[in-house]
Amino acid sequence: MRKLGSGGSSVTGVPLRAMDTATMDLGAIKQAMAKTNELFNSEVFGKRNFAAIGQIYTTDARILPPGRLMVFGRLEIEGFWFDIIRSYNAKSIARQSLDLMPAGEGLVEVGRSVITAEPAEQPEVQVDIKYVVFWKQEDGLWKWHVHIWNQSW
Amino acid sequence: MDTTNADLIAIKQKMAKTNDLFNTEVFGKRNFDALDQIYTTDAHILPPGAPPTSGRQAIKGFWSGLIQSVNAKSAVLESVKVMPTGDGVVEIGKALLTIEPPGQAQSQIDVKYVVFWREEDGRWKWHVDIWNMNA
Repeated sequence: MRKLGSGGSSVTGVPLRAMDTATMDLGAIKQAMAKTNELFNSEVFGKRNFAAIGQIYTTDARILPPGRLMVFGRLEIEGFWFDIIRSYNAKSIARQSLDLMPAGEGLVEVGRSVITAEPAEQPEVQVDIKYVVFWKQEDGLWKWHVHIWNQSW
Repeated sequence: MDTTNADLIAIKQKMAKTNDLFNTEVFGKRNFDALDQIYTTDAHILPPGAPPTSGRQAIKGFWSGLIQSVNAKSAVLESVKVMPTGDGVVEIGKALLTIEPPGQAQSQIDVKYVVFWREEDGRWKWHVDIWNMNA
């Protein structure tokens, strides 16, 4: 397999370009990604500012939540998180990146997260999640373009 | 990424072959060695309700255990969205699993998945595989 960042072209027949993440400063990208992740915790979960979803997901993002059908488009995704966070009284989400793989102009991230929730009249619970996110840059921000997760560790 | 249509059609054909192997060989014939042609050597799977598993040998153990314990019969995979990404492809898909656990009637399970594909030894294989159930 031809290696990313080695010059020449990718196996999909397209020449590698400056936009390919394998040729970019991964440290800077990771910082930008951390900002996006922090927004999800502090704004969406912490303040229930669902408009912040616009800075987290791409316009035509897709999420694949367990127990539901795939959700397409940022507005629909905003509705999904509005319902879930309110119905479970979710308080926070802590994310931990386990693996990050350059993927053309994007990145594929494997990670785990812990969601803290306090459903009505129930004690606080923590839920272990593992996830895969396909990241893309949009409007100068690194955002989630495909997001799938499942429960249990 | 602006992969040409011809490139993408060729890649999709190769992906379809890999997906078909998973159904016919691994589920249909319980030929778990066929997983060598499906997963990259250092692949990762993230199954629902179980810890992540890395490396093809460990992944073989996972599928061998699961398929035999639930007496799985078939896994029909269908690509929903294919996104070329430099050296790889991100695929969103759906799968219909048919199982017949001992003492139970045959049942079907709707699954959706994301696979990050990479080429290894001239084959398009699954490098990261995560899925969950629709219900």
